[in-house]
Amino acid sequence: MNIFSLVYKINWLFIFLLILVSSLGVGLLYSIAGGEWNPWALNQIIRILIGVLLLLFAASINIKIWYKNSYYIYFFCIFLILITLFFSREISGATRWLDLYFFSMQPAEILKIFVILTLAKYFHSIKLQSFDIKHRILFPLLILLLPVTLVFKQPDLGTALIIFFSGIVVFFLAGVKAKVFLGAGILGTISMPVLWSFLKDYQKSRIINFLDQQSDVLGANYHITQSKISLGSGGLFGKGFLQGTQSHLSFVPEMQTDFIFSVLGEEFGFFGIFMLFIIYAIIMFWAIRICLNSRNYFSKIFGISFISSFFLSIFVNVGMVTGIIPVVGVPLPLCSYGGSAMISYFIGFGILLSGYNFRDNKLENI
Amino acid sequence: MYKYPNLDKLLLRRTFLLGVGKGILLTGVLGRLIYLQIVKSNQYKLLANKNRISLRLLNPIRGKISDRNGKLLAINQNTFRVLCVVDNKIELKKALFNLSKFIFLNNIETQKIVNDFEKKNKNMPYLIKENLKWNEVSSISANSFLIPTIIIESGLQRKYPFKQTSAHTIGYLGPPTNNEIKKEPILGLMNINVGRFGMEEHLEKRLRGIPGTRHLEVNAHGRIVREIRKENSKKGNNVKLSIDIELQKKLYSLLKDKSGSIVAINVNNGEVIGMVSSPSFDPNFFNQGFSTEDWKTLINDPLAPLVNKSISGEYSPGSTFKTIVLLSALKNNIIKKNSSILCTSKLETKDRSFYCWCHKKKTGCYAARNHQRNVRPKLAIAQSCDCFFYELAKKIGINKIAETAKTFGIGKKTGIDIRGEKTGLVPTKSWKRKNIGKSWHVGETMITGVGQGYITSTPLQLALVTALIANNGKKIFPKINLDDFNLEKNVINDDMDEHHSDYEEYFPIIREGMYDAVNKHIGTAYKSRLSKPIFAGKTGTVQVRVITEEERETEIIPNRELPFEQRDHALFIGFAPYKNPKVAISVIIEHGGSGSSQAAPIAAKIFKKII
Repeated sequence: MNIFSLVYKINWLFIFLLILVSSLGVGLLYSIAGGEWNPWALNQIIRILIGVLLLLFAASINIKIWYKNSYYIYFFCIFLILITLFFSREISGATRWLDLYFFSMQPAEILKIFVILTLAKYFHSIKLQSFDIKHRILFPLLILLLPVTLVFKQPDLGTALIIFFSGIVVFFLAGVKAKVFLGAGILGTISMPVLWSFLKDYQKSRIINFLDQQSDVLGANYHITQSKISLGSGGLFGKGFLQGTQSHLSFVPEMQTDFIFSVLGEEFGFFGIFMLFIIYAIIMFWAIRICLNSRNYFSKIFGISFISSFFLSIFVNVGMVTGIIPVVGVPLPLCSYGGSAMISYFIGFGILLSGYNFRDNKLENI
Repeated sequence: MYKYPNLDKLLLRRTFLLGVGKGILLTGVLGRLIYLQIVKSNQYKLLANKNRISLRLLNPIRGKISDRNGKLLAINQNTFRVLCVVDNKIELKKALFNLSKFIFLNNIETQKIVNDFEKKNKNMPYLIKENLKWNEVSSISANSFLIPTIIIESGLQRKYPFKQTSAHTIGYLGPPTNNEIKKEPILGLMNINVGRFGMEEHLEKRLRGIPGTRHLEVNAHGRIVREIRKENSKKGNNVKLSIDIELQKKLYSLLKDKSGSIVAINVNNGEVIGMVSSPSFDPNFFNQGFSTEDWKTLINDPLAPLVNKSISGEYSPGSTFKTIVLLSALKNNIIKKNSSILCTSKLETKDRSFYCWCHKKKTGCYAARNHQRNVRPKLAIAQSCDCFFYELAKKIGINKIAETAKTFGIGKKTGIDIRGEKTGLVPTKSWKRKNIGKSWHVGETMITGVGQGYITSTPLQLALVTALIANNGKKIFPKINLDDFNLEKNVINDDMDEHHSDYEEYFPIIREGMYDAVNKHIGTAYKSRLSKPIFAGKTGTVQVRVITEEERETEIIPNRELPFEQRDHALFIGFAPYKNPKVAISVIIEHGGSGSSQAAPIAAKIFKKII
């Protein structure tokens, strides 16, 4: 496929929507910095550009190649995580960053995409074969739990949960029976106390404080209290661009990353949030339609799972900012400041588009 | 195409199910957002404003206090203090080092500043030095670019240029107590001092003014971002007092190294033109913050420098009270102007003997070698004959004396507009029964007749009595705040002179007696007489100890040989000029000795100064 047919084939309008959401993020970062391009907005623009390039690159790679190499990429990512775990410096109690001298990245964010890709390949490859439990559930569960455990060890509970539930979505889409989910759900509930003991103290306290948000508003619940004030004070139409008091006077912590949504809510109000949701919804519906148009099972299952993961991130982020789920540290897709997550989503959408661009390719014979 | 085409159908169905699930979650999130942003929005808007807007009060400028001639007694002086904006000790030390190039910082102080750094209020500038001198200020500001962490703040500080001279009358400022803050919460926010004494306390409301406000936008760290709105503070009212600071200076110098009080009052309108209590204190100290040791010495000083003796000191009036007793007798027709009483220098009753002040074992009453003579009222006042008043008091009876004393304002507050006024005490039979639980003795009436025993009064009351005698009973109220024209407010004294008219015809007798006391050679204050102005007065000497019979047998120990606290109090009341009186005064020197030798000369100097 030459470059011209790619330019012709590629869904530019869809990419435009992605850039639109990212630009909104840039605008918010510009506002948070008090109307300055530094320190965040400019960096974010560079990342978006890199992301779009990578998206085009990923989209121009034949889906066959993605299919063939997904296991290798998976192990490469696991390798990166291990390096990160053992060799990188601790930043505020967690080892998430891999320093590659000219830039640093969070392998866990990249892994998010490729775990789905790997599971998609796995289910694609077994779909012609037996339905026995070992192949159907245990192996893919192993594929899923290895990275989840490693990411959880970093510790990065938010990303680990996102990866885990994205994987579960793949299971669901691949046709694992409902009763299995039911059983696993019950088992999971029963084993809650055991899992609890694996949590770090700060994670436990976050969950405890989540259950009692009125207490300790200056300490453990400070984040969420201030975030709710931001959102609530924004009202229906917001205080206006660059007018957010909560964010400009730095009452909301982490507002350029995990809490960027509260800045949106404060400056543009419920109306702005609704607009963002509509764009998100269009992206997701469109993406699912694109997936379903593909002729191969691999592309479909990857695409829909990826979109579900995308949705899950949005839900967890917004849920945490609005105080309906505990603070677990998940960025708002395409908006929050952060290169790894941004680039990984663009790559994910790139693979999704690749599945569409090469939708007629059959993967059975590989 | 696929071996299991239903797999696609399954995928589609599950995708749809997943979509439904997502829809439910999204609805939940949207519901939450509607709740936060629409339903509860107003509440959160309020919280957001509460977060960002910080109300700071602008302290009002306190009103000035001046004397009757407009000389300023309490002013606000600009002060400068140097502060430092640093986050840790290392920066602080660096700043101090740099600062020490420009102003003198002593080592011990510097050490203390560094040590106290932990206690500092976060996000607030840290105070290094107060009360900078002008050259220090200019040296810092000229080099401010070299010491960016150092800032200079200007403020106002109360100054009392005349220091001790009128400390009791003017008062001083001090930080509000917790109780006051509870009563007036705004005090806790303002960081100002409140009046603690004298006029500063009494006129606190009027002097203080109304604070302004600054609505400031602050960030999460409490730093000021900008000013949203400002309402200027309202200056406190200036106050003009009736006292004359030049006279005050003179009065204070007359009481130097003595303990006592002088009150000078205008007999025509009750204005207090001089009021001094000694020893005094420097009210400027209280502003500058002085050590606990200084405070302890002030508080524990037996001469009570912190008490305004002019209004809070309750003294036996001594012989000065004889004027009242005589007025009472004349009014109640016990004695006539020209009738006389036969006096001996020693009066025996069944339980004890009463001696005249002039009693000497061998000679008896100095004026009459035969130990007895007839004394008329005028002479009794002039010569202060004790026996005359023993007899007279016995005849009048305590209740009638008390009635007259009360009519002239003794035993109740005069209503002067300074706080801390005491009432003094006028004993009666029922009072004694109630408070001491014993019945009244006639001896006590006699003692009261010479102004000793239970009866006490304040120097101000005595000055007021004198003024009433001098102005022939014209109703006046002592006042010190010239701006306060609202005389009807004076409730306490409304009934004070209802019966003054009853005494009107007898005032001249008293005045003549007082004239003789000063200007006739038999008078007790003859040595202090002045040719100009001619003044009249009455001395008083109050015993603070009991003179035993044995002592009288041998020789009475003179005051100067007694320990200080056993010496007599010296009193003098008087008015001048004798014709057309203008000023009435009362002088009390605690343990000063006799009224004629100690208090009267002071009174003479005062009259010389005033008239």
